[in-house]
Amino acid sequence: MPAPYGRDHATPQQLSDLLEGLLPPAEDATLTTHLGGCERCRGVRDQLNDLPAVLASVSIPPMPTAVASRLDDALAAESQRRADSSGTSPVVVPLDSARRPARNDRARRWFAGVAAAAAAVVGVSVAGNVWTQGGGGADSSGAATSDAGGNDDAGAGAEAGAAGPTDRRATVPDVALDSFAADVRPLYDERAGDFVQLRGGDEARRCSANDLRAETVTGDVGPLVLVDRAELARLVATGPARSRTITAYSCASGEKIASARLRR
Amino acid sequence: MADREPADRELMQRHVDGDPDAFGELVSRHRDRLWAVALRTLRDPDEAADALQDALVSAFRRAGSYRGDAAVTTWLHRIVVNACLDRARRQAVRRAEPLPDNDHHGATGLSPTPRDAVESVAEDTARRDAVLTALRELAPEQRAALVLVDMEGYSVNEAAQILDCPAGTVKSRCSRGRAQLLPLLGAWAPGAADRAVMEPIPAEGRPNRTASRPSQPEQEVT
Repeated sequence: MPAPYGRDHATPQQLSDLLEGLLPPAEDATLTTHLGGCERCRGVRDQLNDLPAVLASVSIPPMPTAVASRLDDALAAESQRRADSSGTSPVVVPLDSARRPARNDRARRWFAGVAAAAAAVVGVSVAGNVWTQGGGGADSSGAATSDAGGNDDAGAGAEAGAAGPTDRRATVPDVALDSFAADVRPLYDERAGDFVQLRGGDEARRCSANDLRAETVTGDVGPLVLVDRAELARLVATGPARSRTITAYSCASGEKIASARLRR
Repeated sequence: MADREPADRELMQRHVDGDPDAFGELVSRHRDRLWAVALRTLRDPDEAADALQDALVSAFRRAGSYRGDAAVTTWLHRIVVNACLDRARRQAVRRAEPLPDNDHHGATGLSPTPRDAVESVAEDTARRDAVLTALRELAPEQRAALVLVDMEGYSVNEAAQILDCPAGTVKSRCSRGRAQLLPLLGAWAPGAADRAVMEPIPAEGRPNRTASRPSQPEQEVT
């Protein structure tokens, strides 16, 4: 390659690539020859060569105790939350529960049905994240959750967690990481090329785009889901109509949790 | 690190099985290293602490999705690095608006003038401040690669696992990052003290900040 070096010198980028072995052989050879006769380029190369050592010498003191205890507190709270939500609360299982592997025996299914019916009238506390939703008829909720199945102890709290007679809790569709594709498929209408309109228009605003990374939410924003009954996430669809990629982004961190490709 | 892996895996399993303390124990085994990664990537201690907390709470919840195909520490690092990158990108967007020069003096409250730092402790701190400030000028992806490979001593392959990209991408990010970092280090650059005057670096070697954000050229590989 003739006259490869502007102003007779290689750029730091070229020299850095040389050191990293990233240059094509011909360019590598040309530059190596050039270095033989150019003190200045050798100097820059040597600086680049020593740069990792300078970076490695930057020491970071251990985590400050204030940060460590804040972290411990956050994880302890998370642990407590997990303990609180497992086992003792009834769960109104959302729309797609029928497709999930049955974890409940017959009695629990029956209990859950009762719980779901109760949920239509009074609030039932639900594990994980749920929001109150104002107004709306009880019957639509009952229909949507009539196949409620449960978590580990669906029966224990049909009477527990009542939030008040006028207060209906809306559920957010539950998806599992293990069966993400299967769980989100019913939420997306492939023919219409859109998300199925779910109950609870209010919910759609609960996890605003502000909470998500601006650059990740570039597709069609879909409903909220509850991932593994623990983490609220926003579904976003991207890609061409015949092969949509559905991605769940955590409402808490904005991070991508799972994604699935739905092909027609 | 490898010898700690069996215990890490056991802690992860205990956590998934419901042990309320296992995850906290796992984190405390690695917290200084995770802290170093977060602080090096973000520079600002408050941002680093926030990113770390977000990441670890998220990791707590997602532990069930850990498949064991990477080391537990790699998995933890990946979540932490991603949380930091997200924040760094937002920092970059904020920084796109012109800031007064003294923005660079903030994090440790030290003067950025290296020549004033005579004592070695002060010099360490000043160098840290200077390097972390210069790092902040890089695109987040390049910064993360340099933090992992040059600062934390991860191999290119380990860094590739953490960053979830090909090893070649890590190499080119490191190479590009070093080339851009060198002129930014000024008096802290390797061998700079031996030179009477730093020669100007050719303009085409300088980062083009307008072109490098917000969508990074490397993103075709992700």
